[in-house]
Amino acid sequence: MAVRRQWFRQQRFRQQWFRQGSGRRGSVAGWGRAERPADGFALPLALGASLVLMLSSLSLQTSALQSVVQSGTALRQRRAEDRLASAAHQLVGELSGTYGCLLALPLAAWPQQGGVCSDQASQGRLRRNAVLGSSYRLLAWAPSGLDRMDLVLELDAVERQPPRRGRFSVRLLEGGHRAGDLQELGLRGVVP
Amino acid sequence: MNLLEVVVASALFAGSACGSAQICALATASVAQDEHDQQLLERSDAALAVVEATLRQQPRPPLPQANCPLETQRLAAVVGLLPVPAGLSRRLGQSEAGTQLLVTVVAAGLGEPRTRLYSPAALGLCRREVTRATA
Repeated sequence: MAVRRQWFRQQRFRQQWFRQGSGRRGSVAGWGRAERPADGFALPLALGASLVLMLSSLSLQTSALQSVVQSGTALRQRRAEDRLASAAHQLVGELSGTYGCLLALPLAAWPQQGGVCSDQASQGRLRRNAVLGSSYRLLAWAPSGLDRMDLVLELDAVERQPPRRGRFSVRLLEGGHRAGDLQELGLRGVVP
Repeated sequence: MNLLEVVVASALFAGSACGSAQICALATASVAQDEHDQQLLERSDAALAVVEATLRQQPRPPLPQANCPLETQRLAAVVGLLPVPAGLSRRLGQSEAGTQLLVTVVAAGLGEPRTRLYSPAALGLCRREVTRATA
């Protein structure tokens, strides 16, 4: 009996399902608005495409701006290198002249043995001077071999730029009485 | 899909395409300007390197004849004969005491020009007798 009742229930359910199905399949006009597969696709598609376009163009613009910033940094670096090289020429030019007695002396020995051609004030000016509108400090002046001196200069920090150091080598000629062949060993030293 | 939806979607896409095209044009112009500036920077590097190499190749006179102001004038004349790369201009000057040569390379668009000071005494071409820095 229970089996029979179960069979009747299943039959009624099938009939209801077929009725609903035929109503839905009866005509296209019978479809509800929310059931249409093509409905409402234009706006999400346009939104997605717009988003992709804007993101890609903004990414391009960001990389272009980054490139411009790098160029500005390179230009500032070159100007700092120009000032450092000029400072070395200015200092060695002076050491090769009236302050010739300091030329072959290491920096530490200047106060004791450099009195022959320089006083304290002129030594102070040699240690700290300015070139092309930038001030610099003499950090090291020491022998590096038989006829060479090592020179280290530091350019003061200016306009959000860190102090920069440059290292040079100077050849001593005629027994240390004349400088020559000033060479740049490194101009990209940035003080941490 | 109704007409309103199509109109709104088209307007949205057209607006974003227009904005994106403008941003792309700006980025392209910026990259082109940047490449131009890089080339000018490299040319100014080359111009200064040629000046320095020329100064280093100069014969070293014996000390008695090595007068720094005269030597600086001679070097300025030598450097003045060097060719200037395209897009750049070069100015030559001397410090007040005449013992240092100032070489300025100007590139339109790079802003502040690049200036380097060369001391003939530091290159062993003369011996300075003045002590005051005048650059």
